[in-house]
Amino acid sequence: MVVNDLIPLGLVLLSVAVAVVIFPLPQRLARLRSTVNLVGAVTKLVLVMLLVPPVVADGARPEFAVPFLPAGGGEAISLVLRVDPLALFFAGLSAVLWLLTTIYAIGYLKGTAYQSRFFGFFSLCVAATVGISFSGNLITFLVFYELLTLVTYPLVAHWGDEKSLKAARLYMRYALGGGVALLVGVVWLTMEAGPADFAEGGAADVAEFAAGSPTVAVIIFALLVGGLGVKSALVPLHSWLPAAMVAPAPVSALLHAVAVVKAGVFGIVRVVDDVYGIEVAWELGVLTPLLVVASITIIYGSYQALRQTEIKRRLAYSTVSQVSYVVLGVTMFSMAGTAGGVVHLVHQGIMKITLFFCAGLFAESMGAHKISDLRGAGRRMPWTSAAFTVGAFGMIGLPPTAGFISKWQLGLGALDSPHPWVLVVLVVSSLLNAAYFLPVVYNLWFGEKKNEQENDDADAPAIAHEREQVPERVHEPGPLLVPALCTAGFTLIVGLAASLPFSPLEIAQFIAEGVFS
Amino acid sequence: MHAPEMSPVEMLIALSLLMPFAVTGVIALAGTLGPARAHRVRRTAAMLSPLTVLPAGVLTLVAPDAELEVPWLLFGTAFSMDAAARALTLIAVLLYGAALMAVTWVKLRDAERGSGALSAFLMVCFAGNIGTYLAADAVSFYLAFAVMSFSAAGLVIHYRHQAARRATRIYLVMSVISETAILAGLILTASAGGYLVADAPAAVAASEHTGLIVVLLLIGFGVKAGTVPLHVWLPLAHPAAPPAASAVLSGAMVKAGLMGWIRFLPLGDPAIPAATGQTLLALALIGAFAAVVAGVLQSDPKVVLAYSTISQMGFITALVAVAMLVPEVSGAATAAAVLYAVHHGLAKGALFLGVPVVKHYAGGRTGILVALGMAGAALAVAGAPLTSGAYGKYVSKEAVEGITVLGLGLDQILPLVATGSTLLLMRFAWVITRAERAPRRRPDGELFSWLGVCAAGVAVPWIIGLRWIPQAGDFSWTASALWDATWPILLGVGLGAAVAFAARRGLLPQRLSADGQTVPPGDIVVAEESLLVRGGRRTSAGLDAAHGVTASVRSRGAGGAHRVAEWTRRGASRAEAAVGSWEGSGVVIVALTAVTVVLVMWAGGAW
Repeated sequence: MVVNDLIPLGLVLLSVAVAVVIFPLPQRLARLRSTVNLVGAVTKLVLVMLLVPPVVADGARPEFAVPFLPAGGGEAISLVLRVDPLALFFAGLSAVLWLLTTIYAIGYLKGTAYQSRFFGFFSLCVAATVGISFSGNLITFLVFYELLTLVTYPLVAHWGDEKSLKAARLYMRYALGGGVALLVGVVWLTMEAGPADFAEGGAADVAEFAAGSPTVAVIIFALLVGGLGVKSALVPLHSWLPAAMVAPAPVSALLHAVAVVKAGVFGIVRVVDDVYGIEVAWELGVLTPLLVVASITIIYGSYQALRQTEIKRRLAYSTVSQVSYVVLGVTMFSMAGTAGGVVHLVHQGIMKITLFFCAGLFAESMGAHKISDLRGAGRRMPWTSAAFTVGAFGMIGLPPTAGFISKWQLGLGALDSPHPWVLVVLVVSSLLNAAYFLPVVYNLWFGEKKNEQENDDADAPAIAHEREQVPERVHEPGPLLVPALCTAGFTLIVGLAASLPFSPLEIAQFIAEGVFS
Repeated sequence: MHAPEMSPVEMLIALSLLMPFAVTGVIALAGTLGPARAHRVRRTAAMLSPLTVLPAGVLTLVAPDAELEVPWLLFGTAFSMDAAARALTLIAVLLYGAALMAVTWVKLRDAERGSGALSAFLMVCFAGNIGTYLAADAVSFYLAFAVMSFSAAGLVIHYRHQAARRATRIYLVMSVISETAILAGLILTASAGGYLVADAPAAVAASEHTGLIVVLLLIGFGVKAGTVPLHVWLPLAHPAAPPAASAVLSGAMVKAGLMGWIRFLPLGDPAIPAATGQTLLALALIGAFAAVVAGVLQSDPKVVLAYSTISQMGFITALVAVAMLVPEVSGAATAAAVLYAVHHGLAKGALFLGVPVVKHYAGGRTGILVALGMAGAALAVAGAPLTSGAYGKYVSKEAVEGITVLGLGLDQILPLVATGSTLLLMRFAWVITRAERAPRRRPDGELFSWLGVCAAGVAVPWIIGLRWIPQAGDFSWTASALWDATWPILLGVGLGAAVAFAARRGLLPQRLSADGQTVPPGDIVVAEESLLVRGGRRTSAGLDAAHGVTASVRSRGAGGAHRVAEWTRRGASRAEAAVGSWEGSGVVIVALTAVTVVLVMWAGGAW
């Protein structure tokens, strides 16, 4: 494929175009709306996949730049869209998950009101995510990042009831507060060191500036990461995430797996690896505090997850914990660790979206919102339960799932790094993950409903007669089930085939080599 | 795919590991066909399930040094066969094959309920189990171990009654502890350069964390191997599971723990802190003897057998500890441990499989056969002359000659384990002869599979020991060897008779009733559970209090902010209302003008 410099722009505009077409569509044209959505999603996926070989193997870096702000002295700060391996990594994740989430959302929202508004903002959300992934400097990143905040608000508030509006307001307050910190950081850094294009191993101007005035560089780093930390739900900036659970299931899925939370950590990866550069950041001494915050977030998130009795809230706190694995990986200062953190961007995405798809299915089909409602669901909704089990095993980090690959890679990275104690964090978090996911899986397959439990005899196989009554199968709607099965399948495939060329792990290792070059 | 052509042997390894999954897949997916056809497909697949162990069986017979590399899988995986893997894989093939036959080759009305699911879990467990033997790198070992551990939960919970649920919960908790310790240990091993099993012991020895790795792996694999105090799941899980499943749990699965130690620990290397080996030896011996005390007080035949397994695994663990402590004998002690595991796997498997056989076939024409088989298996476990047990014990005794514990020679202590076994098996015989009977008319897979394992128990350990394991050493029936095998049993019989006599005369304290109440199955887990529950309650209460404090601080903070917001809002709205009127606007303009004038005058330096 000829790699054209307009490709990154085209990919952003593609999603915008989908939104522009969908917004004015009347509610009743469901088929047309779905077609436009799916055509857009498939096109984007194909384009992104075609970009992988030239960018990763041949080193092509398609770039689109347009002057944006005057920088004095006749120069201008440009909006830059550039495709590099890390960008492609994130864009690939969003392309795959956008397609699946679109299918899911079409099934989920069937027959409800305001679908054009929903899918319009949904597409804009994806456009912002693509923009974030292809951003070539901090200013561009900032623009799309703030855009993402604005377009996700209507999605969180979609149902329009008191609870949704409250959660959306909370989300907005947190996100805008973080946005302000980020804005100040970006403007300050741009004033001091120029636009600082993202570069493998860090921007040269930033390195020079950091050497000259380390204190200011540290303050700016704190502002940037503090701002990004809101979306990536670093403790104590995480409270908005569990509240935002009131959103429709596909929104939660997208928010947790690829859009909002991931945009935050992706930004942190960019700042650490491509703006400051890992060496500069290490010398400034900013990595270790961030590593400690990530560790606390991992443990605290797991602990809170353990306390939840609602499925979605437990998943939300689990996200708080899991997303920080990425931060943990990129701040532990070792190549294997960076690879582990980066690969978890994708792995966490596919695993968590599986769990949210399933949670939505359980809620829609069985009305199950609490973990105790899931007792015996394995017989009633076997496919959903199987997909959920795969996702949960992934979160615990059991082989051969994607989660195991992340955990093993991060463990090796921790031992290679100056902070071998991080292995303890990983081990404790594995234990906690098992403690809050295994009981759910146990409930699914082996749990019995309360009334059945009461006449359960201590040691009588006589109970076997009751098992005879096979509980009624519940219909698992195809548009909701297929995406869940796909992502569950991916969770297994990227885990099993982790050492194939162009597997997420291989690409992540390639990116990590670039970071340490 | 760029996969090169596979050789027949490589194909055989792949088949051995994948066949069970393929048939399991059929059983799982049959549900999509609608109830009637699903039932037929499941039943057919289940009937075929015993055949899934065949590739592995052929592999052990024809390919003593088979190898398979799968570079794209996980972090790059490899499988290979060696003497230990060959021996234990054959045992797994025999036991899982027999268990699958016992579950599925029976008339539909005699079959276990849910025998399709049961055979599926058995097959997956089998693949995981032989995977731990064949794995040649840390990651595929861990994968196989995890597959085995978690699929075994499906065996334990099979009957779904309360006892099975409790057993499964405790089993899962112990398994998670085990998996986590192993994961940490293996990451440390791989990081030290021991990714391949062949390099692992040396890498562990050369690592800067040798002590930590050894402890982690001892704990992780110790859970599976039933090492005290990690054994608690065993006496709960074995009786809860269907007998066929208990047979593979006790005969094959607990041996995966032994394999883990053999594969990754630098046995005989002075890099292992001596205290670790001594602790393991002490725990092993405690297990070997304390399990007898706990076991004879049980009233369920399968619980008695479970305690016997703990005792026997204590024996094997003692051999591993010796291999750790004494470099000169580590090769011989390791070989002895493997051989002992082979013997114990078949003998204990036969006893577990025999529990339902006694129930169904002990009367009538098959009665003598059943009595003979059970007695033979029991005598083998006790180590009577001419049985595989005597062979295993002989080889072990040779290996530990000259090693002393607390002034006693280990070669004098270990035979006493046989005395304990004798007591346990007498108790087992007592309990099972009084168990409920349910005669079945025609011999079926249950009886034949049990007979097969009994027959294998007579021959296979000798073949493996004399042909497959070079370090096991030669063996001949000298008079002293015969006597060595006999006196511990005679001692046991004597002790047992004395106790039985005393019990009949009412000479024993009332509290020591052998009804499973004095020492509940799972012994210390009962204390651990209540400690955990109480501790958990207290911690969560404490944490709740802490959360209450933070929440109140937060709400107070938020309340403060709200109040401030409220004041400003009210103030602002009052101001807004004021400036919203005509009069107000005039006031504002006058005030603003005044302020501006003052500012300008000040800035202009008028004062």
